[in-house]
Amino acid sequence: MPSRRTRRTFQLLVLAVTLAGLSQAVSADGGIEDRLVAVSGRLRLALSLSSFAVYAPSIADLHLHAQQIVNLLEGSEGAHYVPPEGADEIVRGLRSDLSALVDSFEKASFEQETRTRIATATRNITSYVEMALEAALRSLRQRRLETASEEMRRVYAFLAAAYERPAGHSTVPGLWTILRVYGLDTSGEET
Amino acid sequence: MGRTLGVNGSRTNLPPVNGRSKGVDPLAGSSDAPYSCDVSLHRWLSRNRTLLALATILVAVTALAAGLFTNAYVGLLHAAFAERSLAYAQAFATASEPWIEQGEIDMLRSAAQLLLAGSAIYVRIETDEGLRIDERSPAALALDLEEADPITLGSSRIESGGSHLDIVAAFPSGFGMARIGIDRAAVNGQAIGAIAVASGSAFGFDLLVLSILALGLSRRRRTSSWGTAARPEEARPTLVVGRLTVDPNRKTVRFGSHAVRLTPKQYVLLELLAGAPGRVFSEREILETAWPDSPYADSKDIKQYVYLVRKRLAAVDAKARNLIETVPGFGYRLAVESVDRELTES
Repeated sequence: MPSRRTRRTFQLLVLAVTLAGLSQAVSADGGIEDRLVAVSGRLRLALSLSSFAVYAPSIADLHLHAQQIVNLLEGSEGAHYVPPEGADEIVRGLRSDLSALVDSFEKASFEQETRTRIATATRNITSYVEMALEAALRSLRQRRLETASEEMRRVYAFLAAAYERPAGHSTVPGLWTILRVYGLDTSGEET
Repeated sequence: MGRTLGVNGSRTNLPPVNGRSKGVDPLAGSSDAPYSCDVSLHRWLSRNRTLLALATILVAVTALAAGLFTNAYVGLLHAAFAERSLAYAQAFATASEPWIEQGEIDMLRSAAQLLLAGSAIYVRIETDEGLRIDERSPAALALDLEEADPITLGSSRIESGGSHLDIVAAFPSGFGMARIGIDRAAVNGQAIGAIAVASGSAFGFDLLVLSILALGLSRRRRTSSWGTAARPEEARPTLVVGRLTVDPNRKTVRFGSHAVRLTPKQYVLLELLAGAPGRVFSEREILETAWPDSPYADSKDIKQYVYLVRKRLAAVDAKARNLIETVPGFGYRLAVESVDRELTES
């Protein structure tokens, strides 16, 4: 668990970031498109935060970002959610959005092939998000920066896998970065 | 009675009170206590010279090693901190670019504020269109952040700003840059911890090794003395000084035809003086011979035992009391010539 000081400072600022993320992600209570945008927005924000956490200069900084990710993924209904000081409103998490999205997909009419592809994708996203959440919680239990940083690399990897494509917000370099350096990237994607 | 004997006799004939002589000895005086203390300290130092030399070398070596280790480790800590801080700033710069492209300045500001909750003390984002955000913690409000020098595409720069690191990281596409100040408090705390651990370890190591050495030396000394005791002593010649006869083999003393009954300590004192008649023995020499294992013995003990030996000698012959002569400022000697003359004359 984060220290009291980390928790307090986190609580002071977590509200602003969370609300900004939510406003960017639009309402998750609309149609499928709105819910997709909400999931995409939260996932990209979580990816950015995990990239900050991987290179956090101190363990306190890392825990700060890790807790933010946990809040984003779990929402206020999660067991590990740290509520912002003085705020008791309900905040939706990525898990809730995903669940709502799955419900929407089930009610929607698709061709069988498309339905299967979407079902597979949502199962993958849900699994990756759960694995990212577990890794983030493990990082919060670490006291050594290096070990906690390793857990945050896992968080980033799972979230990036959930996003599937190389995320525009990513800053944890991998093979794609090296391919780009050598001009071997043929995907044509811009970061 | 000779002058020397008379003077010494009158000064040392007072009975001991509480085990100490009340006589005013030429060796005693205002400087008696410090002198005794010096003697004890000197004896202790000379007896533990090897241990002291080893202790000095050990402390010097461990202090040097601890200093070198701490210096290297703290250097590594700062280098690692700077490296992580640079990567942290680059991560933020890369994340900032799409937010700016999409016009999500509030999102960018919120993310910057999140950084300020940690080690960052200021976050500035500048693009080709000018300053976009300038978020600062209370500690950095007074900082005068001058215009950062332009940096090349995709590059970064890190400079020391005293208590913080000033980092400039360009956006990947090069149309802006993020400038972040990272407080060094975290790494400074780690460095202090490392120094404390290294110093404590070095001190603990010194203490452990010195304790083992002291124990070893003490055991060796004891074993050595046991070994000496266990070996049969070689027959030593009897010391005959005038009418005084000291037999080291039987540990007996005779004056003329009379046996002088002495305690072991008194005997050792007299045997030492009789070993070189006429020679002045310093207090240090007497202490090292008669009280080799007691660092607390001092000149007062010598005075008391000289008094007691004189008393035992006087018991067999009144003039033998002055056999041991006090040499003011130097020590004691066996004044055998004077005694013989006196005895002959009588």
